[in-house]
Amino acid sequence: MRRARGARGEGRRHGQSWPGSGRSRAKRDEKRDGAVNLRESQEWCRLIVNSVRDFAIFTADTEGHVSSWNPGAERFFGYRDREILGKPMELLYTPEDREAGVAEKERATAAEKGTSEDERWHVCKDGRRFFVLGRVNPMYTDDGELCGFIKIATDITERKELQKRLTSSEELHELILRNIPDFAILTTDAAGKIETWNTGAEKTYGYTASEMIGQSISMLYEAEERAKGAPERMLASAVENKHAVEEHWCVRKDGRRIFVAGTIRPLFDEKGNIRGFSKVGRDITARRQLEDQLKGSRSQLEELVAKRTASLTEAVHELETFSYSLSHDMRGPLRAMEGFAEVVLEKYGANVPEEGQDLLKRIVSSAQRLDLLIKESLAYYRTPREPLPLEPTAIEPLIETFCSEHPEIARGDALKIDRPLQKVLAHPPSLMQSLANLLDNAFRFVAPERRPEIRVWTERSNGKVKIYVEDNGIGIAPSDQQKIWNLFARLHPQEFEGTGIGLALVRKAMERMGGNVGVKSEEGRGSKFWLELPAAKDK
Amino acid sequence: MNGRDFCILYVDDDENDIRLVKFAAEGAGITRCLQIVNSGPEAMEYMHGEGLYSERGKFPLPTLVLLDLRMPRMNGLDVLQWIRTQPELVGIVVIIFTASAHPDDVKRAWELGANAFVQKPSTFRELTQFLKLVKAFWGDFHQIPPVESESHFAELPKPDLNP
Repeated sequence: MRRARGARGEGRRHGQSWPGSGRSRAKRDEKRDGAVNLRESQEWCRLIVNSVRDFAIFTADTEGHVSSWNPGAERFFGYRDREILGKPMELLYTPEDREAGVAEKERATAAEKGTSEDERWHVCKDGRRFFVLGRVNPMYTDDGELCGFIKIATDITERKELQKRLTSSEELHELILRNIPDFAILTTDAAGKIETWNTGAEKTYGYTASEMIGQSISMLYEAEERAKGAPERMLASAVENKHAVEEHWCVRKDGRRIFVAGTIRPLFDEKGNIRGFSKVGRDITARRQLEDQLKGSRSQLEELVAKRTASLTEAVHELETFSYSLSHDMRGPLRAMEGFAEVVLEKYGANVPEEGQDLLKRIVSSAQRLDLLIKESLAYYRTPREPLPLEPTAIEPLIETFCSEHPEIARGDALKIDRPLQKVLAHPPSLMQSLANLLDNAFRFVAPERRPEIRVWTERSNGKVKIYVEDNGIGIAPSDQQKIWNLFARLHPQEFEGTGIGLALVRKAMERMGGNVGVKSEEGRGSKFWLELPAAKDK
Repeated sequence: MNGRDFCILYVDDDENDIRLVKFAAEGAGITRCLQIVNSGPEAMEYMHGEGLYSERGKFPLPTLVLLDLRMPRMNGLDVLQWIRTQPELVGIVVIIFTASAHPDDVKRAWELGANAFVQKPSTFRELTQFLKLVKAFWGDFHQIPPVESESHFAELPKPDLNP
């Protein structure tokens, strides 16, 4: 540490050894010893001060001119000692402080009170400001005369920054908590005694902070719940599970009951002990009422649906029974008509003129036709809507069965099958019925002079199989291709026999199997019907 | 070959059906024994050989019963059930012969021990064919069991006259 040459004598340079250190003392006169001792201790101080870089330590004379300057001061303020020695210490202060004469006041306070401490902004050599915690002490001669001041300071800019941030975040939190009106936020001590109570809590419960602070949190519960020990259980659960979620009724200050949903969380101190709880809650009375209403409506609705379903099921059942008895009742007289006309033909046919025979035959065929209509209508209405159980099904055996039942179709080359036919996932009886209908149609709807030719093949793509039934029949105009699937739809009632039910049955059957139907056709150019089903998985 | 001769008891209340069956039976070659009764109670009387039907020469015990279901005084299923409880009527073939084949009825008939369930054919030709088949199978191929002594009978249940 460099010293200004002054009354005190020679300064000691860095590194110079301490006089008398480590050596046996030479004999000196006492005064010289005392003087040496004094100088020794001074040198100690100087060395110490010299080595300190974390604190700025400098002295000034009574007028405030800098008289000594340590490395710490150099570090903080940026001035080298020769740049600042002798200069007023006001240089180190901000312009505002200089104008206010702060340095002088500091010195005056130090002289008066023995010390002056403060925290303030100071200025470096390069003009940069930094926040300093500093203490100014007076220095006295042996005679007790004020001879100068010593200032020790340290840079607390960072600390100040942190503090500012902390304060502002604390302030922010405080602001938030205070002002959230919709959430009741409160904290308690470890025993559940309320310590803080925000605006939201005031609004929710009706009690002000001053009314609630110091009260137990159990006050927020209804008497019944309190008696059952609910508050204690909640707190215990919060400790065990790190949080407890609850919904319960509370009574506000004005006596109104509200439904509150909230979370209780334990608060821990630095050592990890419970130091209290926080509760964040919300008045959800309106929502709860709405929920209750909704539940009520829903159960009403369910009841209604059940009732309607029951009556619908009953109606369907009635219809089924009705259709059965209807068919029974209708088919009886038909049997009689058909049968007796047939009997007359058989037994007395020889005695009946040709015209009579013809008429009797017409009676027979009409009766048979009506019977078929009834039978097929019954079949159509009887098939329920539920999906059918499916299994891997080979198509060829079904066609073979059909052929054995319809020898007139199987005869000759009428039916050609392009083998092999892909296997499909289907309900065999329903597929059988659908194929039978298509094949029967293909055979029937043919120009009178032509011989029916039917071709059957399958095509597979994308996991689905299309079964094609192609004929050389009369074809279907595009405008009619939607109609043919309708129940009782007949395009040529005069020319061709039919009930108009077959294709409707096919469509229904395919729907129930989760498949599809379609036709490609032109009038007079034959038709290509197809059934689409999922392909059966290869084994 | 057979213990008894093939003999059909047809139980039905519908006059038209009865006539048709008679005609068809002619065509099917069932000449000797086709007996007709019009209701369940009558059928039971016949099978027990009571009252009108005590003359077994004129009214032989049937080997096969064609049984309609929907009859006003007593349901065919009840008749079936009764037949199956009579020890002396063991071995009698019962074919349910009815217009409407509701699955529930079919199931119940099997449970009660019917030998077959047939829906009345809608054409005369089929009816004739059916009877021919019945005669061929149950009359010629099937071995008709001999019957026990007819003197011990179970108590006849009183028919429900107000169904």
